[in-house]
Amino acid sequence: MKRLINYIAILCLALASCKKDGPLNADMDNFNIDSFKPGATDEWLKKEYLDPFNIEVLYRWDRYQLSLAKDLVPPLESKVIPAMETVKSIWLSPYLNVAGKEFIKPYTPKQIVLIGSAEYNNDGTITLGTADAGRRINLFIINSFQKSNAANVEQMMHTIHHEFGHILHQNSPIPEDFPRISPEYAANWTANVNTANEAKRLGFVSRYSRSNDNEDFVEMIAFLLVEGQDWFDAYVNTAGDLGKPRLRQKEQMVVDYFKTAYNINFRKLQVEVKAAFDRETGRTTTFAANIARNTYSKMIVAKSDENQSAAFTAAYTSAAAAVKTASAALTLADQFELRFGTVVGKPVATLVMTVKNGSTNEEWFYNYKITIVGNKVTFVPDNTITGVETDKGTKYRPQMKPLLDIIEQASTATFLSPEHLTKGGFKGEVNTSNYFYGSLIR
Amino acid sequence: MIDGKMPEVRSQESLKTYGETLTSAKNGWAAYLFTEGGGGYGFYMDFNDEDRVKMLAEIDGGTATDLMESTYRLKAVMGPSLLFDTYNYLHLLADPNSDVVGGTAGVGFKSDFEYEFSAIKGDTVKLIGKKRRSDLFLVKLNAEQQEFYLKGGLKTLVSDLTNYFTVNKNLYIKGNDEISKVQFSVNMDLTVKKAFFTWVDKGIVKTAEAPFAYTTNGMFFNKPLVFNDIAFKTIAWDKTKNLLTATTTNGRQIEILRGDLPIIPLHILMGTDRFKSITIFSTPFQTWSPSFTAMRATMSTSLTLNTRRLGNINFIFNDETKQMKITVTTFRSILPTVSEFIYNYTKTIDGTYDFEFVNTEERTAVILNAVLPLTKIFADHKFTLDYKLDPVQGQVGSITSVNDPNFYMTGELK
Repeated sequence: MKRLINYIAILCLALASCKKDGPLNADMDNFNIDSFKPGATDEWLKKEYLDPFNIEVLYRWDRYQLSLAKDLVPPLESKVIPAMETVKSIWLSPYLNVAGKEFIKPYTPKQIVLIGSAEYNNDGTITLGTADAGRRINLFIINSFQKSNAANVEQMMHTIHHEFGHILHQNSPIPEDFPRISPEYAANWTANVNTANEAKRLGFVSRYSRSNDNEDFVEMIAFLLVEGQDWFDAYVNTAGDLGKPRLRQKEQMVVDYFKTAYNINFRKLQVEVKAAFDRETGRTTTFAANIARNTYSKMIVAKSDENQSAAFTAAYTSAAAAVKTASAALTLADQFELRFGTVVGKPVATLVMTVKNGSTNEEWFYNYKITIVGNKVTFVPDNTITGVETDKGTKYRPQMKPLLDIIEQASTATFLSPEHLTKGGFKGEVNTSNYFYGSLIR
Repeated sequence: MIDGKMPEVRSQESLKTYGETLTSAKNGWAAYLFTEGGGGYGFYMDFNDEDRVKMLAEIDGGTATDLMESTYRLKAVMGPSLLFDTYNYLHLLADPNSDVVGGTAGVGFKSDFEYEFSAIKGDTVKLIGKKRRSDLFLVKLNAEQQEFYLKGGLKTLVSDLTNYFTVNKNLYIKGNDEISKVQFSVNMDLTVKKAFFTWVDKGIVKTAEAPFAYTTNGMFFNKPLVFNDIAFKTIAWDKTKNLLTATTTNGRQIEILRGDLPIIPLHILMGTDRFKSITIFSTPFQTWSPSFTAMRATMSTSLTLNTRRLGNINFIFNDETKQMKITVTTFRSILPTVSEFIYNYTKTIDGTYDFEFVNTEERTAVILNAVLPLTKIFADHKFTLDYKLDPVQGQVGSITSVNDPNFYMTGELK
């Protein structure tokens, strides 16, 4: 053995002696040669992304930016500008408007990589976006991008707000208490037991939220910004007793996190994102659609509200008088509530009328299922789904009739005005002078 | 150092040569792609020196007629490479979304859009896919061939050939002394996109296959389609003569012939996935023998006397278990009864069947008596199967008695 080592030593020596000294004269400029010639798309991206924000948008294929094992395709060039215009107005501009350029420059990713298809995973899921090390966002399915298709834009913008959320928490960790709100995280979030309803019941905003606390946190951000508060409130309202407070707690934590970590007013950011989304896609949120998805917990209808029709006020007065005539001890309150809910996914409502009986208050219930077609909304009396009317309610139905007739008529549902989305009303389809408005409570 | 040049200099030079080759073809290129997924596909490509390429593809009517432009890129990645770096028709086959043009979700047709230059030979540039090792051949076009593509010729060619192959199901070429005819067929489905030879060698069915791409005048094979010493390299389509002529790798011209009936004997395919049954309908075929027509009439009369009506008679073969079932449908009012008669069989190498009656579940005396002539003759005689051309029905399957060649019947082959 020793002899072998000696041989090796001699051999090395011999080799060393053959070595010629000389400069490393390879011309490094000639390595990785590339024919790249910028076109119109490249110029647009330079002007809109690289120069103002120092963000490089890579759309021409580079295998080494992506998973080598996966079959992916590059984007259609014609989709690049429309998609990036939308990304700019629904993601970059709202942050810019609310947080300013000082925030944008350091925190926005340095690269956005566009991929034509989705990434197909072995567990049957597909990946729509990924973020790396707080520096890069990979956006998939660019080839199916359609500005006019709100669902499609929602998906893409959800992805980018989700991924940007990762960059934010990679720079400033998520609140310590956040993971404790819903401790039921499960790595195998695609498992059959993790149904959408189960995730919701446990206070997760999506099935995917359940995979871990970071995903949960950024899913909250993405849903609150992109799907929006109307969507989120509807989700919370149908989440049940366990999920409801958890979701509200998470929502508050997100709002506080943006303030403390980045000094960003999250509520303002939400408004900006919503406005941009509506503008880009032509999406409009209607009162009827919000009722259908259960955005509101209730609506408070006051007799004296300045927006009520004369017919409504008169009917209210005459119902109150008729009740009084029937029983002198009974006094209708000046306002009532329409409490919203869902039964097996179908919207229902209960009219709750507070009545003073002598010195005590009692509540009369009238139960409805709500039929909604477009903006047409009708409260259809139905005791089979939400329980029975209270005895008193039924007993005094004849006296209440003028008022109930207006509520139960086939109506058109509208917000009071584009500026007053917190107030909604119902107007008779046939008799358009019969209408009433109420304040919407989420 | 080779030729006294540093590697990076040679790499740069070869990339420049390839780039100039691509852009110097003033009439563009025909491109033939052969994917890992197994199919072949034809394209038209025209590269300019601004990193842009225009394409047509045989994939569908739209891709064959509407030019699409995208970027490409020449880059030294391990070796001189051609990257189609934004989406074009070429990417349709690599798209993991199976809703785009098909294929398998996650992998598409297992194709490539990043290639290494492999060789330049005359007017042909050969490239190899980086991920899937697809073969891509670029063949320089002349002005006339370019016009063919730009005027939508690819769409017409594909639809002409599709029509030709649909009408002519029994194409063949002449074989050799032992195997006189070799069947030629194609599967144009995007997921297959192959041509086949099929022949029978000592009673065993053999096949050869090769993917093909459509060209300006026919089909191109990257790996030849081979039967013995015949190796198809290209096939040319003559529309006016309605004729396909193949050119072999050694330059021989071979006409593809049109037959009325398939080349592979029916007894070899019967009872396999290709054919499972012959169905004799209640309406007579012109290709029934008088003796069978008479037998069926007797059966029918006997049933009618018992308020029943004779429906279809079905011969169902299973070559694996060597069983044949005759199912006879009879109706009482509108109520059908299906009676099964099971036979085992042996078959000689040239296709003579010897049936042995095994049993039947049918216990209705009226039916048993009525169908007895048929069930008995199948137990007593030997039979052969063949294709027959019915003047009305087209290609049908026939069953003929060996003992009495004047007793035969025909029915739908399925």
